[in-house]
Amino acid sequence: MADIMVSVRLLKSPIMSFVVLALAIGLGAALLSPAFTD
Amino acid sequence: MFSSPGLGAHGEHSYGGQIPTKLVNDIVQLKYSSEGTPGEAARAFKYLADPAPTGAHAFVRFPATASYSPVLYPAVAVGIRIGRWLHLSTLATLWLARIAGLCLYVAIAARAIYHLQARGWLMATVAVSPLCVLQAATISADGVTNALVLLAIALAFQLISTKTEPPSRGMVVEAIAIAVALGLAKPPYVLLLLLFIPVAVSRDAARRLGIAVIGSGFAASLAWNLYAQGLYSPGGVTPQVNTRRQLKFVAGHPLKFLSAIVSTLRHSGGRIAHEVLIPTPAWNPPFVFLLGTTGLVIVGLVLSTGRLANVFAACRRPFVLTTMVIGGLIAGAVFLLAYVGWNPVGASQIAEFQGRYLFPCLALIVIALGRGAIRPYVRGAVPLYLMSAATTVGVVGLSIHFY
Repeated sequence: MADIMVSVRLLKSPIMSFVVLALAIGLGAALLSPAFTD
Repeated sequence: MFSSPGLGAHGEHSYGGQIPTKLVNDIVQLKYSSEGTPGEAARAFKYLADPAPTGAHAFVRFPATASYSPVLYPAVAVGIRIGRWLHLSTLATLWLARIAGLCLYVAIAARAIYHLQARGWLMATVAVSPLCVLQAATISADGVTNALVLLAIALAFQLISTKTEPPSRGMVVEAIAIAVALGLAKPPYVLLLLLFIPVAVSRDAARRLGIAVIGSGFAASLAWNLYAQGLYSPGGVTPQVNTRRQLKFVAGHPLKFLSAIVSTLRHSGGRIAHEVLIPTPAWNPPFVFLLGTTGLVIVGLVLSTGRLANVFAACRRPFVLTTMVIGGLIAGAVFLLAYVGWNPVGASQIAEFQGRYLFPCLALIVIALGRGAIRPYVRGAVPLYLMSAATTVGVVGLSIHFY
């Protein structure tokens, strides 16, 4: 429960929210999108 | 760092690099087994456990990107070096390079969010937009350029709001380092440093820093461009391209240049707008995904900047107006670079103009509007989550299209 509360508090900060979301989505794009270079 | 002179396939002098032949063959194989062939991308994964590309080297031309400075590639270079050191396959090495580039983008953009504290959520919303994340997750000069653009905007806005206080030593070092890096990044985004003019012309404590930022950025840009002039060659375009004659043509016929911009926007406006969302023409997600991405981006931005009346009110503020003029100047410079760089002399349209070149102007205007808007519809995380959803829809749409 305490872990969940810490995670929720972290996601209240724009920096942490951005880092988590951009890394998660970007990792998906890096591993799945077939365009390696532009 | 990556480019050196050599002889192309037909014996002509060109710029590129000495690269293992197997690496070149691997990349071609990966590219043709996935990109551009919907439903086939999964075939690329069978090359994941291939042996590392070693053996004989050959000269490979990449003259169009040889003029970019090394400041754009430190992370991907580290990723590739680690892959080579671990003797990984080409696909695994490309993955490492893409992830390293993404991490650098996230680190620089996070710093921009930190500096734009009062509008941190807005900066985070722009930084997680589909174009930014997709470019950052690709081996490209654009990921780091976009991150530097966001950081320069944030630093300028922070310095404008705190210009009466003497800047800290850390701020001085960071601002000058970012200015130099932006000067060495893809042109013409060094023009963003014009945002520091209000600080440089004031009588406030930060005045000298404002002057130093503008001076160091433009000096770095000038020095690199003088050096790189001999490196650039518009590979693969028509022989009528002549940058000097085209510049003379624009100076002599400015209205024809303006007409070429209007004609390009009239004929390719839809494609350019599409590319601001999903960056490369070859990436075509199914229409429903494109619609979903577009809708979510628009809703996210509208919620961040507020009612239309507020936007118009914000536009009348001198700060927002100045920012918009700088955004317009950068857009004009981007069109000029494309026209002069790779279009035949006197062309009636600007060919090969991609929407992603305009991202820095749009980011600047959105952030300035958000900063100047009186009451955004929603403060906080909601626009960020909507933009993240838009990017996720874009990535899923691309994956479904190719797999």
